[in-house]
Amino acid sequence: MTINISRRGKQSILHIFLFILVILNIFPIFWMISSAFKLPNELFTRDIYLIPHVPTLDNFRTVIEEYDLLNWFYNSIVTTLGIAVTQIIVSMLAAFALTYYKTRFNAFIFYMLIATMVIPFQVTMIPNYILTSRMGILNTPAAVIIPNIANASTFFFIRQHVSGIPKAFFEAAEVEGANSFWIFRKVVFRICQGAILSMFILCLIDGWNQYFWPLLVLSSSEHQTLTIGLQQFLDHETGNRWGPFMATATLASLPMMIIYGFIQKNIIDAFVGSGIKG
Amino acid sequence: MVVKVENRSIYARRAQRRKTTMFFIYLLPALVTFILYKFWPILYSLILSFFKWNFVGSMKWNGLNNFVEMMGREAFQKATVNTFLYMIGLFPFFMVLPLLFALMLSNIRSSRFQNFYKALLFLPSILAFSIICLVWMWMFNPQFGVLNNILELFGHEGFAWLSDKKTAMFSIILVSGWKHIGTNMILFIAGLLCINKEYIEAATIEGANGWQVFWKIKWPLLWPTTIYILITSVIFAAERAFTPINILTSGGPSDATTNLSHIIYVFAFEYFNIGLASSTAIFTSIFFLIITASLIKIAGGLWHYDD
Repeated sequence: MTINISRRGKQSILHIFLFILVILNIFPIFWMISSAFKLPNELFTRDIYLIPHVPTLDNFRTVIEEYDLLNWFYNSIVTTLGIAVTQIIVSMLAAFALTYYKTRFNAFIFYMLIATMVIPFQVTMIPNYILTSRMGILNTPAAVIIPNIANASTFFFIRQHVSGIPKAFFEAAEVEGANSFWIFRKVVFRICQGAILSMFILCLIDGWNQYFWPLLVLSSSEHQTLTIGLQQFLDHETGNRWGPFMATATLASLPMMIIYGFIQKNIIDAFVGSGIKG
Repeated sequence: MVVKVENRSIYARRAQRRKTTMFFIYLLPALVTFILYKFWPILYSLILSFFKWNFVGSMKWNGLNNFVEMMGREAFQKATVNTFLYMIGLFPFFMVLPLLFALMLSNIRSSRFQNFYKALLFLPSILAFSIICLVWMWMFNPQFGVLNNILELFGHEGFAWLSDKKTAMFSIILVSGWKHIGTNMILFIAGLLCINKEYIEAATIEGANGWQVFWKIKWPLLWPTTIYILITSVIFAAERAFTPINILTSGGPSDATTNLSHIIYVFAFEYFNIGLASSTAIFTSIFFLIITASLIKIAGGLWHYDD
């Protein structure tokens, strides 16, 4: 009996503790959403309004009327999908080559690609900026997408799954007279569907949240992505426009939060499987 | 007979050659992009670090002067020291708290509650860091920010969080830590799940208490996760902290919060001193390489090629 009670006591202490932690943890997100619906008099005050007493959509209206919000959304979607799709296809092709063909270059190329994981972004930043500007694609989605194709962690994750495919599958397909591209499309893609989907979601999150590189290559407002466009609400001369900012931040976070709401278990598992991305 | 054997070997060699060709065709997109955007930039950065250049105009040979100038710059010295300070400051948020949360979560009996807490604690990890930083910036606002408003309830006058030298770095660490607690917690939970329950049961039967079980069994077996997180925290301190630094303080007040990645950005895109920026970038990557290589060595290798 006593053991039972003390166990239950321990459990409730844990629950209380974790509950407080969860509240603290999501408070900034809650505050962002709550502030998006506040009028200036509830925003710029020393009183704390947890929930707006007079909820308003004014901030959302301001954003849509005065800023390139729709462009930002469009650009974010294009660059995010572009990054996810190209990264995965290029990684799949490379992983397939390394698994299906045995040459004396295999190990060397594998290590060569993986080694890029430890190259800091700052070293590649200036040369990549120069290259991108020489290619004449500054201020286009391609400027964000192309330098992002080379991603060692995506490659590593995909390769781990592709190399796990039993050789018998390849042999069976060969006996049937299948060529390598058929095997790539029908065998590798189908078997690795789950892994591809996990990686695709991680790439989406990573692409949607990119900040440093787009900041360098997207300077004109209409071509910017959401994360970069949001900087426009900060203005040291006229003062920061926090209301419209919170509205945009809420809208920008919504897609990922919705995806997370539906498949949070898969996302968490994918994070664990690949380490941290982004 | 001899002719036949030769023929066969020619066929075999041809087949192998064709295989190698196909191998490289499939690898081509990866090789081109990795070489163009990862390997060539290293070489190019190295070349640039010996020249004086401002993006336009002609490049002038500058020998090792960029490195000499870099060493002499106060901003660089501060950035290097700060990178270490970030590593130390982030330790509780990257290691201690996530591990503590992971241990607490794994002790929750009801799996429904466990998943509920886990999902909400992980939530910040999927949001854009840049957006989150701006939300915190508003919370840090000395006049109307919610943090000072809460402090006021307790009769404290509050802080000038981001513009005061004493609190600016702490504020950045707080935001970065908050963003990563959930991520690292998830990794520790995964690590804990991998531990064979029999070890723990055996130890408990032998009379070990919870504290001993943790230090003697769980902690050593979590070593790979720990090393992985240590590496990411080094990467964070030197590189990814750019986002909160650039948004929250721009490295100020008077370079108190700058780090290596931010100072490279400032040298390149604010001073347009490409030589100086490149030499700092080279320094950063060597710095990086030494620390990660030694950590990986301690861990006994994280990646290995196997057929």
